[in-house]
Amino acid sequence: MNSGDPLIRLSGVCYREHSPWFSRLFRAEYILKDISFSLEDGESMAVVGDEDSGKSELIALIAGLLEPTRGRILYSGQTAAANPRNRARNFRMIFQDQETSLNRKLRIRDILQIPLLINTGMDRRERLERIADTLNLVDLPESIAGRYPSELSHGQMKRVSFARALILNPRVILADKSISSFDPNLRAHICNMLLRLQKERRISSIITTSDLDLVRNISDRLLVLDRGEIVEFGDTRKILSAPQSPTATRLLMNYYNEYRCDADHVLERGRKAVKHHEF
Amino acid sequence: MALLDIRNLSVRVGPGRDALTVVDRISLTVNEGRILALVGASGSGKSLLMQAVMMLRRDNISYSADRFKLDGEDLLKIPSRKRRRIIGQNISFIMQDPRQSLDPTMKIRDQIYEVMPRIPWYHVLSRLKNFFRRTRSKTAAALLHRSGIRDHERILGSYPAQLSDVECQKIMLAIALASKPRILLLDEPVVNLETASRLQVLKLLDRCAKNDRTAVVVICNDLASVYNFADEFAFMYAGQIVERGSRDRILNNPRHPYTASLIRTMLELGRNGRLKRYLPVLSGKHPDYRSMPVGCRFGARCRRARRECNREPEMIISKNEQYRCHFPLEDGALYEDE
Repeated sequence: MNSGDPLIRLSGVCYREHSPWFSRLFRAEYILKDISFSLEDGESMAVVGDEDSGKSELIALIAGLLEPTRGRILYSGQTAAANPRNRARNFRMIFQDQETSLNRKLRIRDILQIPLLINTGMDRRERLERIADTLNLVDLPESIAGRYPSELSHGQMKRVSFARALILNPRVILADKSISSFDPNLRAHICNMLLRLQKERRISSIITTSDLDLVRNISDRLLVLDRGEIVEFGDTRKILSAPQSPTATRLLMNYYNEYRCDADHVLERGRKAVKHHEF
Repeated sequence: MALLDIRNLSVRVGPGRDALTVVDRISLTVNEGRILALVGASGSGKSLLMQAVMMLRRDNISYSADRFKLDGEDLLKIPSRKRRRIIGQNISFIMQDPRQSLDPTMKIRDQIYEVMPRIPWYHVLSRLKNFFRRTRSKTAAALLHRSGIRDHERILGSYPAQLSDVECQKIMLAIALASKPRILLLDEPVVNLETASRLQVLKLLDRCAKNDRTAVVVICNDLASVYNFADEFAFMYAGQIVERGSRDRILNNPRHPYTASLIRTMLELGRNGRLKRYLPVLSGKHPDYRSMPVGCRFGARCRRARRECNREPEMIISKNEQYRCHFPLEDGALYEDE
């Protein structure tokens, strides 16, 4: 693992669903086609695109939930096979469906403990301290540790799955749509948390979302996908101010012109007047 | 007159004496042809309120209300069987998870037919049967088309497990509209959708409200996704409605500090400017229902809280605004405070 290696590098990654040989013969449809990009250490990235553009699959491939059909993914210059612990510890995924991703039979404390038990040699007291810290980080009361997932609300469950991703101090957080479904205050909180993690601990994030305002605020790089192909990849601000591809333009148009046009004249005064908030 | 008029609806969760009052004495009126957006933090009791409006029976959950009138008819005074029929005919409800609400063992076609008005028996017996069958499938296709699905044939013939989340959501919308409801309740209908489909769904709701005079209640935890479409907003916090009013009034002059904080966050996120800036957030946590604070429930997180806030604020109702706060924000204070 050299320090010069990019955090993550995909070269020529293709993916299609595993299917029986006859359908592979007659209907060879790739969900992702020839994806190549690399992300430097400390950079965070957002993936945008339409439905069924393969965003979720891309995240799942990076997290190791799916195997690429062709191509390879290098984590800090190594393949997952060469150093499986690296991927498991440093590339933590937040799942979209928090109800099915949390084990109903375990208390929150145990759900959060499992990654620590597998990946670290902490004793019980250290583990509990780490759990309390992480729960504080995601704005949850510590009393929640003794409860079961079914006793929590949706938002709390989402935060628990966020805490599970953060508990190992990973280098990258992979979030598939999970951030945009929070309520606004919590989303702002998570957004601030991601920014703080980025600035202080250099934890980057790879997220998929449809919220371009959020993307502009938290990500350095933007990847625009269209039906499994990269149409644009580069600096977020550059793409959002001057998109080159029709897909990116359409996404932007949809988001800003139609989705937000009406309220703008109502809120114009507000936009100008809101002061900058320091924390 | 309001289509749905509810006074002091409470929902208690839990067995017997340990029950927690999650939704606390909420009064709600829903008008024909209007879109009401119910906005609030997760865990503020929005979904429970909707389930209570549908009077869904669930274990460990009990409802009580002083008044529950649907189109002038008091539903609390009639037998439950009749009540359920009236609610079923007039109100459609789309739950949060579309995949769980669809029957996994039935084709989409049959699930849509199930809610459509029955074919009378004499038509079934006669030769007209085939004719009605055809119109039925046409209606089903039209419903799907209306909710933004283009390839009807494939969708109608498939099972829920073969479809994506987005398609399931649109199908649920088609099913909800099939019975021609007068009130449509939606629990976070757009949260999992991409921007283009969001627009489709919201425009469909808009058409329902404007053309068919349906009353639409949308639960949404994100203000930004509905604020172009809703006529009215109601903000919920810790089981109470803290503010309600028309869209322009709320967006320009919110009264309750919680409302103001949500709007401020939305504006700050949408502002063009420096990248990577921190957003304003409310400090503190949403109160736990097991240990609800005395007095104003927002008090612990409110910067304007004073000693008077230990007394629970009443809902102040004037001509075009309703709020629950001792020290409401003045006009234009949204951009000066904090």
